[in-house]
Parts: sequence; structure tokens; C-alpha cells
Amino acid sequence: MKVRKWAPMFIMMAPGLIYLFINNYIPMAGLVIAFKKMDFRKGIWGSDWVGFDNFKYLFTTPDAFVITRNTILYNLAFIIVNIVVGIIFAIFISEMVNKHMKQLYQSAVLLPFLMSMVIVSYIVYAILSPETGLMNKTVLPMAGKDPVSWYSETKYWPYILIIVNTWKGVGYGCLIYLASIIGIDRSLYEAADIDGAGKWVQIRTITLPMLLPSVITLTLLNVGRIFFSDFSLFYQVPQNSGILYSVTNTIDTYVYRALLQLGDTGMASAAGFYQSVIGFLLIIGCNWLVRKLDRDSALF
Amino acid sequence: MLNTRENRVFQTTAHIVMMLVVLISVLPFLLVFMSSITEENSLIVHGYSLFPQKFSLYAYEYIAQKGDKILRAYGITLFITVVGTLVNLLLTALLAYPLSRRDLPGKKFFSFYVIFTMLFNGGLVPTYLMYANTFHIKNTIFALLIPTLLLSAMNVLLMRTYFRTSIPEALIEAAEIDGAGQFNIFFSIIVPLGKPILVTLGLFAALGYWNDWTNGLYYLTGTKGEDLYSIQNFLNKLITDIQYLANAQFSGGGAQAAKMPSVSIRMAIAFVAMIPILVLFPFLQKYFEKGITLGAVKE
Amino acid sequence: MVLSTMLTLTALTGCGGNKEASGNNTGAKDTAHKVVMAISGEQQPGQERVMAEVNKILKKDLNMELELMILPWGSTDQQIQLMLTGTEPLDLFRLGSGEAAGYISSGKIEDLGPLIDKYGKNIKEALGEEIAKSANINGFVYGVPTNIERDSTPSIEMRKDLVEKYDIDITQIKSLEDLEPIFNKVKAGEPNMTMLFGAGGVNQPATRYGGFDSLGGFGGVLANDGLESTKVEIRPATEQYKASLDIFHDWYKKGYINKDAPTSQDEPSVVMKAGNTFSTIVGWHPAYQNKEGNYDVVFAPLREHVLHSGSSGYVTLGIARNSKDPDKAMQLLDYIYGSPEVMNLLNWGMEGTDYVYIDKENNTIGYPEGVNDSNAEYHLNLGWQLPNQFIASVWEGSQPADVWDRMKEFNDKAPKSKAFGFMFDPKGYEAEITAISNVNEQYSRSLESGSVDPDEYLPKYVEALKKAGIEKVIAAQQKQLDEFLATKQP
Repeated sequence: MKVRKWAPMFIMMAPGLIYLFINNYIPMAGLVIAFKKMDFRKGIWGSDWVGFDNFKYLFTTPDAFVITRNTILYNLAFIIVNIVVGIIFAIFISEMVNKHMKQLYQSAVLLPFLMSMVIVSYIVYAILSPETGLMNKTVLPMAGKDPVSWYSETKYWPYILIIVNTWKGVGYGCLIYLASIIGIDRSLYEAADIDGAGKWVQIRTITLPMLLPSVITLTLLNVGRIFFSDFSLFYQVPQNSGILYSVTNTIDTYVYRALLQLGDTGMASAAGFYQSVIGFLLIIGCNWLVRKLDRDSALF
Repeated sequence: MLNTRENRVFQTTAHIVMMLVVLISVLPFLLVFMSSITEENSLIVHGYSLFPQKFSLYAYEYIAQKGDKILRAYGITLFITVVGTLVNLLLTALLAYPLSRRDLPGKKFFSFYVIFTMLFNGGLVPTYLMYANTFHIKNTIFALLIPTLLLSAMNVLLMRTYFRTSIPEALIEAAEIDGAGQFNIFFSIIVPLGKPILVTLGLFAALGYWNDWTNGLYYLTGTKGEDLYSIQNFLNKLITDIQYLANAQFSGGGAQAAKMPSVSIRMAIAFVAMIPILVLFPFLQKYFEKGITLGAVKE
Repeated sequence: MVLSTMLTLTALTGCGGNKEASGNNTGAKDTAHKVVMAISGEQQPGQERVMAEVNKILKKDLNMELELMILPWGSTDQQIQLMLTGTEPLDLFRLGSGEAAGYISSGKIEDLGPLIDKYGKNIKEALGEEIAKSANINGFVYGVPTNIERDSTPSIEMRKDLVEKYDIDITQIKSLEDLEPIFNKVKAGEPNMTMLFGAGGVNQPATRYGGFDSLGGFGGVLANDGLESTKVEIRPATEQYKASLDIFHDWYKKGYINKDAPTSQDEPSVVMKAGNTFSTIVGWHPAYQNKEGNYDVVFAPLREHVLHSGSSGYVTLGIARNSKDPDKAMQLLDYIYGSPEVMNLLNWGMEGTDYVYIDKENNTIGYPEGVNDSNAEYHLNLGWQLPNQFIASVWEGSQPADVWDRMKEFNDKAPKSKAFGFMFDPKGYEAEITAISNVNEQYSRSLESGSVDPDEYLPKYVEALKKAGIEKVIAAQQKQLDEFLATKQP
């Protein structure tokens, strides 16, 4: 009985597990590069071990604090804003009575998701460029305000980056939540209607609790990536403007700029390894916490 | 739904907020399009505007010179998107369903096995060495299909969460008691009831294939490789070439760059990349809608 | 897990250490040895046809074949980097002083010194003994320089029509200060125009104005082009740097320089073409175009043309570690340095189909009837990436027929920095260099575009560099340079 039940399940999982093994696990052996002084003549295994030498530059730099702070704070902001905005949009869309409007709104949320970040950086530049941008050339003069040199004023950038990230990325979470809301048993709402519960009460007592597992899954997964950042967002969108580094430099952009001249494979791997280890520890910790609170929502 | 005052306020608020969202989403697209048909010199002199002073189709003519290449690239993109998405969905669902079963032996191990791939990766060099030198997928269509995009751990976990929370366990257990095999259950219960998430994640997978240019960058080189360029590879090449030449430190750079219309063409390129999606969008939407509502009908 | 480790091992051992096995001269005599050469550019529809012609010659004379791999400009570096980690066939490729140190320390390229001595007869003849092996770090020759201009003259490029309209005597321009009254005059007449255009990482006014020997760009510099002192200094701490930045900042405040200079990604040529810009600072050399779109342009030198430490190493052809037979690759490379036929084929295609002689005596060529830029099947026009364009024909109209004679004179006549031929070996200073690299990225464009006040930002810049450990790097550079100078003057 047991075998008959589980054997097909393992067969089902096999293709996916094998793919992950090839695509992800085999190259992981390459993580040793982070601890080696790569000499491609000797190959990956033959190169000399150098211990933690490749990691040094990440910690000895005077910028270490700034880049770590920026990476973490932006990611936290992104996680929170994307959850809140994503859920609000998903609820609004799911409650739309008019079918055509519903479709329109769905498309609107998804549209920016279709573009690559490089293109987004062009759009932002078209809006904020000091000489030719829409803001300085059209919007601000119309409002009777002086032009702003957007790319040299640090105070605007935390907002700009969060807005851009939300604008481009909210569609992903929103659609996941939308799918989950649609998956909620309609009879729950009907019962609430009969009880005379208003919209707000229904959202609070039915929709939000039912969304919780998806929110937890997405959040846990994002916590694992908290030391990583979208390179294009922090490099291309601010046009690599030096004056803005204090608010735009993240671990990924720092590493990129650091290795511009050296191009050292070992040092690049070391950065990735460091980011992964932190993410790993965080996800283990958070998962343990979630397990304590709600066994079912834990990732593993 | 009851037509109470609260509901009316809710609907109105929702409409106002979402109309704003529509505006914020669409205006930048309009700006992209308008810039792409603005004359290059006018863009540099007068700046970006939703109402340009001087029109020019030069950017599109420049792209159209490579018309046959573009058509070919669209074809390749379409092929990898369709094939890739189907395989991706199948692999994802087949992996997610067993993981969603609370009583799967080794459930914790397998979940961890999947999640771990999101946290650690070997980096570009080892991945490249394996695919290029061991599996020899360089300059073949597999280069666009297989690396990275075929299965996303994130999607597996999202789908698992959905299956677990939205498909009644009793339904599956009843089928099992009736003697249905697991594949039978998968195709007759999980797939139909999982439609909302399948369609959603299918859309993401499709977008992943449609928008990807990194695989082409790493694994397609030379004449043979460029014949396999997807539309994003093609457009990305135009963009990065312009960027590179504008910052070139050697003699020929400036002269090469000056031949290309750089500002308007970037916008035209962005627009060309989106046209097919914009055209296909209403159809996708219909499917999407259908999938989602179908999935909602239970029992 | 045992299984996984085994699989991993087999998957990854493909990447090195097995050159001996695939060894030298194993190919049978009757099949020609194939050499793969990678450059950047656009795919040419007629490539197969032209290469067949090239290979007829190469087979006859060397029993070798050449495969030309054309990679896109923007992704060449990344694709080459990846290829160099693996076992793919790749012999010759373009590399510059920027990547050289990294390639050498990670064992990705061959040392060409001994190979040039063995096979480089044509190379030495074309470039001269000194230049032939000048692209080296600590004696490791990373590439053979292609025959192009060696450095350039920092010059102001101005629109000719405006120069005439405002009656400007360009022969009076001797230095940066002389531009001030000119900008003043033109700006008064053309208030909406940009007087001086700056953009990107290399096209900022102060960057182009130069005046330093940057010793490969890792931190320290020699002031005054390295002509006088050999003391390695921090660039932003020098008087010379501040003096020029003061001028540019003043111009920026006066609205002469475009507001978006620090973030603009536009190429100066494109902007000059648009008609809203009066001038930009360029690195002039005899092959420089004197037209930007519809506008004729004129030039006036702002500084002397000096050969710096890395002058000959910017564009070189190196041999990859992947090469099955570096000896043969070098033989083939040397052959092309001495073959006008092959150079013409590679750069311009086949005579009759892709080009015809317009003036055989002066060696100028042009398109045949009915062929033009947009329908040409083969028109690489990338002489600077190919070994020796000086021996090939000159394209009619783009350049004067005697351009390469002028270029040779231009190169030979220039005074040399005391550090000419020196390249700093950054080994052991990686942590400092990564931090310095970030600091430079942060400050240089803002300062060199003139957009920020040097009085405020220069001290910050210097402070940040010191924190990043520049003093340690400069000490090392000084030590290596002194050793280099000692061997140079016996």
C-alpha cells in the first residue's frame, strides 16, 4: 500500500530534482573557488588554497558598513512595501464587479513587470535627467518650481528606489495573492454576508488569514536573499552617479566596482558565498521561528 | 454581494486607486513610445516629452534594416517561450504536488533540497564550464532553454503552498480510497483545481523566457551563435554595443558609435521588445481569467 | 552524496591542466592547423567567402587556417572571460592593459616574450624592437600591440561654422585658459548652446584633458605627463589636478558645460551631430575624423602629445591559455603583420566584390559600383583591431592617402614619459585596489565634469583614498617603478 502510494510520487519529483541537481548542485562544487587563488592553468582543483584571503576586501573597506546597511534596509523596505501594496491591489482587483475594469487593472499592475531593469533605467532618466528630463523640463516649471539636480541629491533616492522597485515588481506578489484569494472557498464569504459582516470585516477575518501562508512563503524566501540586491536597480537606475553612493551603494554594486580592474574570479565568488551564508543562516532562523508559531507555514 | 454603503465606498476607493495605478503604469510606456518617434536631435536639444515637437521614424528604420534578423529572433523567442514554459510548468507542478502532501516520507529533506538551491549557487564560472564544456550546449537551442530557467525553486514553493492551502485534502484522500493512482489524481484533481496558480506561475515562467538575455550572452557566440539570438539578445546587443562604444577609449569607438542613433533607438528598442507582449496581452488575459475562474469552481 | 561528488569531479576537471595531453603537433600533416581569432564588431554576411580566400593564402604559405570569430562590442569582454576559463578553441584575441594584470595572475594567457623572439620577424619590423614587447607586466608580455596611434593629443574639437561665425583664431589657442574668452563670446551669441560637452567615464573634460601618466590606473600617477619627475603621487592631491578642475568647475557654474555631464551616457560625436554643442575635448591623432554628422570640425591642441607608460598596451592581440599550439598561433600572427594581402582581405574583403582600387599608386580603395555601406557584404573597417593596418590600403574619403605615414611620424615624434614601458603589477594589493576602485568611481566623474566644487570635494576624495589604502599602493608603485628605471639606465 505504502509503496504503491509513494513510488509514483517519487517518480513525479524525479525530473525536477534531477534538474536542480545538475543546474544547481553540480556547479556548487565551484564554491571552492572562493577559497582559492584561481590559476586556470592548474584548473579549479589544482589552484592554491588561500583560506579567507578572497573575503578580506569585503570587510577591510571603509565602506563595509554603508553597503551592508543599504542592502539590508532596502531589502526590508522592499519586502514590506511589496507585501502591503501587493495585497491591497490584489484585494481591490479581486473585489471588482465590472469585468472589463478588472482586466484593465490586472494588466496595469503587470505591465511594468514586462520590462527589463535597463529599460526602466532609461525611463527614469527620461523623467529625471537634469537637462532633458520630463520633471525639470515640463513638470516643475508648470508647478512654478526650480529644477532639481536629481542625480546629485541623495535625499530623494531612497524614495525613488523604493518607488521604482515597487512600480516594477509589485505585479509579481500581487498576482500570487490574487491567485490565492481566488482559491478561497466562496462559501466563506457567503456565510459572512448572511451574518451581515461588512467588507472590511470580511477582509480582516477571511481574506487576510487565508493569504498568510503565501505571504509567509514569499517573505521567508525574500529573507534568504536579503544580502543580495538587484544590480541594475542600484547601478543603472541612479546612472552610477558618484554623489549618490552613500544611499545607492549595495554589496553587489560595490563588488562590481571593486573588481572592474582586477576581474578576479575568486574574489567575486567570495562575495557570493558570503551573501549566501548570511541568507542561509537567516532563513534557518526565520523558518525555526515560523515553525514555532505555525507548523504548516514553515518552509521545511 | 450586499449593496451596503460600506461596499459602495469600498468599490469607489478601489476604482480611484486602481485608476491611478493604470496611469502610473501606462504613462511611462507612452513616454517610451513618444521618445522613440521623436527626432534624435530634438531629443538631445529639447528633451523628453509626451508631446514631441519633431517626429522621426529613423530609429525604427534603423531597426527595420535588420528586419529579417528580427523576425528570426521573434521566432526563436516564441519557440523557447512556449516549449520552455510548458516544460517548466510540468516540472514545477510534478515536484510541488508531492511536496504539498503532509505525509510524504522525507518531506523535510526534499523541501530543504529545493530551498537550498535558492540560497547557494556556484557562480557563473562553474555553471558555464559545466554547460559549455561538459554538456556542450553552446550555440545550440538548448542554451536558451535549459540553464537556470527550466525550474525555479521559488515557484515550486509557491505552488506547494497553494496546493496545500487551496485544495481540500479530503478530496485527494477520497480519490485515494477509491483506488485512484497518484498520476490520475495529479491530472484529474490537482491540475484542474490548481489552475489559478498554474496560470499565474506559467505567466511568470513565460515572462522569464521572454525577457531573458543572459543565457544568450553566455552561451551564444560567433556567427553560429548569433543566428540563434532571441529578440532580447538581439536588442540587448544593440543597447550594450551603443553603451560600450560611447565609452570606448580607443580610436575607432567614437566613429562607430556616431553611426547609431543612440537616444531614440534605445526607446525604440524597448518598445519593439514589448510590442508582441502588448499584442498578445489581451489573449493571455483571457486565458488567465478563464484559468483563474475555472480553478475557483470547486467540487 | 558520494555520487554527487564523483559527478562533480568529472564535470569540472574539464577545465584545465590537460594541455600536455592534447599536446603539440599531433595533427596529421595533410590537415591544416586551425587558429581561432576573436575580435569585436558586426557579423559580416560575406565572412565565409572572404575567409575562404584568406585561408587559401594561409594554407599555401603556412599550412594553417584562420577562423575569425566576431563578437558583439558590448559582450566581448564577458564572453572572452568565460571562454578563457574553459577548453573551447580560442587562440588569438584582443586585450588591453586594463584586463592584462587579472589575466596574467589567473593564468588565462600565454607569455608572448619568447614566442616573439622566436617567430616575430615581421612584428619587430612593423612595430620596432621597443614596442614589440612593450605590452608587459614585470616582463610577462601579454600581447602584441596592433599598429595604431600611440596615445593622442588632448585637443579641443570645435564646430567650424561657429568658429568662422565668431571669428575665432584657433592658432591662438595654446592652453585651457585661452578657451575662456572664446566660450564667453560664443555663449553670448548662442545662449542655449552647450559650450563644452562632457559625459560618461572617459569623455569628461578633465579626463580627456589628462596631463598625468596614470601608470596603468591602479592609484598613483606621475604629474606633468611623467616628463619630469618620477615621484608617484595621489592625483587629486596634486596642484596640477586642482588647477584644471578649478577652471572646469568655474565653467560648469557659468553654464558652459552641460548640466548632465556627470551622468550622461551619450557619446560626444552623437551630441555634436545634434547641433546644440559647440565643442568637446578629444584625444586627437592623424586618423581622427574632421566631420561630425553634417558639421565640419576643427581642432586645436591643448597639451603636448606624450607617450605614457601604457601607451602601446591599450589594444593588443594576446594568445589564450586555451590555445592548443601557441607557437603556431604566433607564427600566423606574425605572418599577418607582414602581409598586406591578408590585412586587406580581413579589413576590406575581396577586391572586385567588396572593394576596388581607386588610385593604385596611392593605394586608396573604395566601394565598387552599386555597393554601399548598407548593402556591403564584407566591410569590417576595424583596422585598429587587426594586426597591422599600416600596410593595408586606405579607404578613399575617410582619410588622406598618406594617413599612415603621418601616423608613424606622430608616434615616433612624441616625447616619452619617464615611465614609458612600465606597468604596475598589482599582485598582493588586491584589497586596497578594490577599495580605491570604488572611491575613484565615486568621485572622479563628479569632479572631472566640473560639476562639484574642488575646494570641497578634493580633500574628501584624498581622504577617502587614504582610508582605502592608497599610500600602500603608491609605495609599491614607487618601488616597482624605481626598479624599472634602474634596469632601463645601465
